[in-house]
Amino acid sequence: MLTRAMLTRSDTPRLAGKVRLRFDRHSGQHLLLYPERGMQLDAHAAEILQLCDGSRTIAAVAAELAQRHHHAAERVESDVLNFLQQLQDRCLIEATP
Amino acid sequence: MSEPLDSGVPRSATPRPYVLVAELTYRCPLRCVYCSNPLDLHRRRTELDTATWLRVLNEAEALGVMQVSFSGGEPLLRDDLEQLIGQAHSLGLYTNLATSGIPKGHERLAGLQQAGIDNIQVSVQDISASGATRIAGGDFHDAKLDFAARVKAAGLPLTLNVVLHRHNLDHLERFIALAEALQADRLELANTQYQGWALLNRAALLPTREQLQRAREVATAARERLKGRMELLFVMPDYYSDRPKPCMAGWGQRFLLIAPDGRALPCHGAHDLPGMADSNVQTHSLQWLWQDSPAFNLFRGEAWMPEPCRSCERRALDFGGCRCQAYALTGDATQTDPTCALAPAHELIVTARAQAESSELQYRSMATPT
Repeated sequence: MLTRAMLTRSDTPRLAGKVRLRFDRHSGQHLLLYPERGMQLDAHAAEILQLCDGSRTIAAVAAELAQRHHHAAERVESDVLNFLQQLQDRCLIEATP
Repeated sequence: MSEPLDSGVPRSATPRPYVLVAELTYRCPLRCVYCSNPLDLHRRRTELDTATWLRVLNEAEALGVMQVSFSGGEPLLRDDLEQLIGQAHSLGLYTNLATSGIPKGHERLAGLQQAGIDNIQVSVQDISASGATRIAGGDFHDAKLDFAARVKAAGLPLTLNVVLHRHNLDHLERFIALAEALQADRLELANTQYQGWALLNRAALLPTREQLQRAREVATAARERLKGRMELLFVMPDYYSDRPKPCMAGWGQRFLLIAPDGRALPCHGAHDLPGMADSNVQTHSLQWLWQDSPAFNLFRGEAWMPEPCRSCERRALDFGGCRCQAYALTGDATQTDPTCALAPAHELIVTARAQAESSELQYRSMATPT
């Protein structure tokens, strides 16, 4: 059995081809939409995914967020990595090394 | 499509529709023996015009819908498909197209892409042309595979859908290999739901428990192996799960289906249900239909529930199952779904499982029965 693809901080993530990030004017929150499903995102999750546009590494996404919110970069990076790994497992993001 | 949107939003008194299923036409080159369309297709030839569909899309977005699934019949048989997808896309809706790619789907791929289609779903009936022809009532297998490959070649996301039954359930490994070869983004292994033509053909389609258990093992192993690479969905059929499916995530809770003739329905199987006749977008706004119509309020909440549902601890999980299935099998839509082992009419399911041995298939047709 192949081992699960694990993300690292130097990977560059973006939404998978079938996934759209949309602002939901009815709830005022962002939704992640994909075939026959959807996921309501809180403000943090939406902010992370808005930065996952294929131009930044996970480390760079975390650094950007840490700077914006004056948080410790290490802690933010571990949160971002965990969140993105969950989405990766569900084929909602794609990452290139 | 009976999976809930996993949005985590609690059910409230005024639910919000998230998904619109737009059945554009019942016309279809295929004649699949498990089709969920109604049996009296020959009496349902009326189709909404483009302007009405555009209004429906606008009203759906205003109500809260975030996803539209264009299906049928075969949606490609509508010349305005690109226009409708374009409108949904411009409204910010996620758009999915369920198609066979026939006729001439490949010639329209560029137009569909330009209109903003987000996902294309193609179903295959079996892994060989002869097996597929037996189920689809015609030789479409190679054309479908060609279309699926072209979807990917165009850079569009592909969902491969397989409706499972006795005759193809043992081919699960090969369906999975096919999905991998096609580089499908998503593989839906959906056991037949016994509504419409599938109910008519139930005795010839219902698999054995042994087939299902083996298939579940194959699917579970593949899901683990493909984790992070291909989304794989396998749902056990309610005929063998002893608990009903949470049909449509509850009646009038998340899903809204518009049939080709404009009927607004809470479920694919609701065509023949008493109380649905006046639920039509040609005579009412979508807002009224969703919020106020007797049809959509018929089974909201729990007041309609009989025992054993009413006092069942699972009533908020499965909502007593599928109302249409209860009606189709017992003649009473307020009955507990017979697939539930606690249902008074569960014997019907036990008997169907025991009798599932006939092999005569009756093909879907729009012709008047003789």
